[in-house]
Amino acid sequence: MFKWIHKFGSPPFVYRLCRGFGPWIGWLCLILIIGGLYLGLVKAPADYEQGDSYRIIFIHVPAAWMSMFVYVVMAIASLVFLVWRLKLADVVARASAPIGASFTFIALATGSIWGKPMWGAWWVWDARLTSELLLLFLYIGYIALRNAFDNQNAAARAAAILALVGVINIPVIHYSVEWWNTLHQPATIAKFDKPSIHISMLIPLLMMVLAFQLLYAHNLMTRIRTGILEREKRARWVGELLESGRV
Amino acid sequence: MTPARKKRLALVVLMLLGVGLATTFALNAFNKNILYFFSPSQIASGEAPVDQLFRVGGMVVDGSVNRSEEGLDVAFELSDTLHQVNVVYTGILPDLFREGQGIVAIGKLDTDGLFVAETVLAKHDENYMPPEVAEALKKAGKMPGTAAPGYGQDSVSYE
Amino acid sequence: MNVRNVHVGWVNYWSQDVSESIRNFFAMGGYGGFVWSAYAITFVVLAANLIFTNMSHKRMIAKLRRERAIDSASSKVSQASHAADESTRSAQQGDVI
Repeated sequence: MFKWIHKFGSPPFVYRLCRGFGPWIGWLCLILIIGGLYLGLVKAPADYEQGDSYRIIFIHVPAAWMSMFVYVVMAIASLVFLVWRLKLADVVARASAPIGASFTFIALATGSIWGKPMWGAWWVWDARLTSELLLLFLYIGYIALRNAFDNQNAAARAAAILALVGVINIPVIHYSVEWWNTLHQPATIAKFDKPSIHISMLIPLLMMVLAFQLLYAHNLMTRIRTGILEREKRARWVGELLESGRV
Repeated sequence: MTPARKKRLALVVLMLLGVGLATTFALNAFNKNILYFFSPSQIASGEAPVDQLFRVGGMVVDGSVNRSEEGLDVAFELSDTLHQVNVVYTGILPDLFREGQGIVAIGKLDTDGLFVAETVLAKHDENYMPPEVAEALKKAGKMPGTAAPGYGQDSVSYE
Repeated sequence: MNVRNVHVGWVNYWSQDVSESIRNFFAMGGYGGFVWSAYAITFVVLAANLIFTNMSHKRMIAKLRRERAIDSASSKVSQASHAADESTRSAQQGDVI
């Protein structure tokens, strides 16, 4: 069993894995986005209260979920790096930060655009919005910290600690709508017993969620490959790879 | 200064800026949240201060909305089912503002007991469905509970 | 003639219908500005992310190839100069002899 896990610590194996699956995941993601947008923007009916403005949900909710999911991946990878000194874990954490920051930015921007016509304000300082903004600052802080050091190992360790400390913000974001009385409405789908969204709207929403997951996976795989090449540039297998032309 | 030290200094400044910003935002959020919340009943019993900024939440009373012929003035009544308060507001209302909808108004009470709102926010619920389905659910009396308008207050359900 | 008229009528009906439904689609019930700007921001950010990622991967490959080319060139040069040294040395020795 451990042999199997060990493979994921081997850079050439992970590199080939990413090279093999990356493009397929990319195409699948594209198909899901096209299908999800068609169902969400064209086929799904308007909402009984919010009319067509609710259609922002098909990008807002997936982006908001991904902003938290990517952070959790980053924090777990940072923990693995700190405890087991696995360099690949650091590559994963570092590669995740810009993607997570993008999703967070999208969640905030689309939420703001949605809030203006519905709530009557671009922004309110409620717990959900404030904690999501803090998440954006955590991502930016992580990226800035990595770039501030000359010594890559010191940078990796400092950034990993920041990522771990910041993970406390994730449950705060998730439960903010329950712990405090926010203007932001409570969760729609997390209630598994009875999602309060009509099936014609739920299907495109879930398709977009999956599409965003795959987009992250695709992007992460390319970034991991870049990161491995950089870290392993002296290795013989990298030399063979560069000469073979199938990089 | 060596480049390495410069970089480290930049890092420290950056982190201080970040912490400063975060604190500012947190305090700001705290300040806004500390705005008192009063229900129409509390206003009716005279608990709410005059000429001080606070929040009031409730349902817009059916048939109470009066829009001026010209301009953006609007007057309406807010109710928590027990008492009502008269609200006036000048500005663009959120699209979800309608009779029977839960809203939050931020503003001041004048000496005549009229609430002069600076901001009107609408809270929507977490339910999404086509109008026909909503109609059918309402007819069957199975509509999920509507959003409590008490943003910033212990949630009150208006059944 | 008759057939042609029917045909034109159908085209007119069809194009009117389609153009109206397309207009409705972009209007988004009056929320077009909000909905489309939200989608535009999302796709610009995601596309920029993708393009930047692919570019930096290509740049890394080019950089590593360049470094290897320099390495192998310099090792060839050092080998060549080593050989040249040998020959001059032997020549010098030859001269001496």
